[in-house]
Amino acid sequence: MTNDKIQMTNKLIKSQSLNYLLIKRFIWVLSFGFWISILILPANAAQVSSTDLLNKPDLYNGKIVIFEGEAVGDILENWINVNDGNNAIGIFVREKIALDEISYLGDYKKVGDKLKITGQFNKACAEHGGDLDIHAEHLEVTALGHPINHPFDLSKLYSLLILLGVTVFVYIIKTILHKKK
Amino acid sequence: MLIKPSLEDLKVIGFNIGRIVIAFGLTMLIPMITGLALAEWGPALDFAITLLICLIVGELLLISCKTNKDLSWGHGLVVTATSWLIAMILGAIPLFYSGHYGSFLDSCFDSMSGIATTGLALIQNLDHLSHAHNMWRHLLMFLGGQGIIVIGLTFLIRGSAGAYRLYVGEAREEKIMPNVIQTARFIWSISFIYLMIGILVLSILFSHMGISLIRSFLHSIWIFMAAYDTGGFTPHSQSILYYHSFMVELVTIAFMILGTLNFSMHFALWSGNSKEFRKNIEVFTLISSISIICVVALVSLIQFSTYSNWIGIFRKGFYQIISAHSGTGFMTLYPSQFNAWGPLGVFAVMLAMALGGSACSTAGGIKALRVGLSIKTLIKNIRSVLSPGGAIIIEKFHHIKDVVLSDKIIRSTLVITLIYIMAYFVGTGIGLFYGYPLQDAAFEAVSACANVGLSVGVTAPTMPNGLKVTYIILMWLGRLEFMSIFALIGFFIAMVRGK
Repeated sequence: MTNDKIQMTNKLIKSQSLNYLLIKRFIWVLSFGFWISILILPANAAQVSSTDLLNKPDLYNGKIVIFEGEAVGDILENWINVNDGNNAIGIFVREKIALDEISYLGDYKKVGDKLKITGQFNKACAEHGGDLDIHAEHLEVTALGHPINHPFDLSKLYSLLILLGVTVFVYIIKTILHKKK
Repeated sequence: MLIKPSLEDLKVIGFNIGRIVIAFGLTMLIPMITGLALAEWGPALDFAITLLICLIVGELLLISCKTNKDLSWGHGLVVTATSWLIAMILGAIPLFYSGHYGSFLDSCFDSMSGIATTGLALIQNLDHLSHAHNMWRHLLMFLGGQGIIVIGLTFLIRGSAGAYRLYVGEAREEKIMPNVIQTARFIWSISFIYLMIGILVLSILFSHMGISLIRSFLHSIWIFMAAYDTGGFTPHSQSILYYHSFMVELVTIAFMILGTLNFSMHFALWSGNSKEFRKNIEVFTLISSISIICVVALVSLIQFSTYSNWIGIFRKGFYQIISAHSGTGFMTLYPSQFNAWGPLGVFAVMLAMALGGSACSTAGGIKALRVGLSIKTLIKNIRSVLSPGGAIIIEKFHHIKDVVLSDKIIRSTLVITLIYIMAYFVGTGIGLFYGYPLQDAAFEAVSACANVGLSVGVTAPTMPNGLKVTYIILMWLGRLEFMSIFALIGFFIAMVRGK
């Protein structure tokens, strides 16, 4: 009985120490993740809109910001313009390869990829001739873009056909009047 | 006593408007073909519909107003002013169909802004606009810059004294060639040569930056049209800042300067007459004015430490001044960023906009020639005060030829200058009435009336309708330099009260 009790106690201690180890490891992983995230996304990075940046440029100048919006237009060497619905802001990406992640650029036929950019905001960038820009440190595609379906407007087609008829009629009248004279 | 216009007067006016409407309508083939080529069926349909409307309206006017009578001075001015209003409405139809405008008034605003080569815009979600509609927006500037009447003169209206009256009504006075039709064709010829050069240079530049071949080609056409015709529209919402390219800025500066030169100077340039450049009062005034205003802006930018280096000062400061002085309205910054320029910097931009470019060019504003002549008049007056009584002071200036500064020239110069200043004040007053701060109201009114297009943020789809109408009128007045519109008002008064 005593041996059994001892064995049970040992098992309990072992399982408790295993739990303790797991909890310890979990806490370690959490803290490691926390510090890594601090390194990647600095704690003072604020989620901003283009209106914030344009109305309060001094407040955010030189700071790390998080900016989200749709990639529009073209990829211009190391630049991509991102529109958050109010204004488009130029994003400078030092490693051009990061822009390869973008699949759709917004235009008449497409909704562009939604991007989340973390980077340094400059109200008048010294490196880029005084541009108001964000130097991206991290770029992530949060939602994939897609083609836009523009349905054919039949009422416009009917209007066109009616107008075509009227035009032909007007030209016939003109020809008749011209022949009479 | 006011004489009531006769039926024959109305017929002459209607007949010529009809021809201009048809010519204007036919230009819609260009965006229509663009739409068809790029599989933008809806937009192509918008232009086909509007083209037919133009043909019907134009032909009905030709049938109902058939006449062989030539235009008088009054007719010419009324035809010009009315044609521009009709062009604004017809040009707004496909824009409104695009679905990017809050109201038809907004699309009329952009249409007038385009043909008056202003560049202020109320369009929403521009980054998703079709290529066909973008082609139309930029073509409007090209047509308006060259002159809607010039199109008619070139293609549809035969040479006559009346043709010259239409040409003058569109704020053009100089006969570069002996005949007004030849002058109109010369204006088109050199513009097409520049267009070819512009397309080539900008296409290479854009494709080198990574833009696809088709888009590079389209962007090069649009940016050239906007720069050379000092219009200021761009295919994307960030204006020229969209490209983030020093080279694009340099090339557009060159085209803006070319666009702001008098067509007579282009003729001198093409005929190798460099002496004209050195002696011409307008060129001298323009260079002096740009230089002085650049220094003023520079002082303010340094005082406020707006930009940390000379490249920033050049790319933002110098660029905006050239854009303002030439009447283009391209921007390499956001409207709210003018706040960082300081009051003196903003004043410099406003002054550049108010003075404007050359006469007989696509630029707006008071014009360098009038500024130069006003200064000459001042000098003449000072000299006559300092001279013994009875001395006759003769002041001369050189513009194409040596001209004596007569009282008639002085009077016409000062009258138009005064009307411009009054229009700036009235526009500012209406802006103040709607609750905008003085600096913003003045900036936007000058920008609209001088057909520039720079903005501090007042022009937006949310601005009051009354202010939208005010700016439409200012753009129309500024582009036609008032006289045609005064003639139109006089014509309507004569119709109502004349005997």
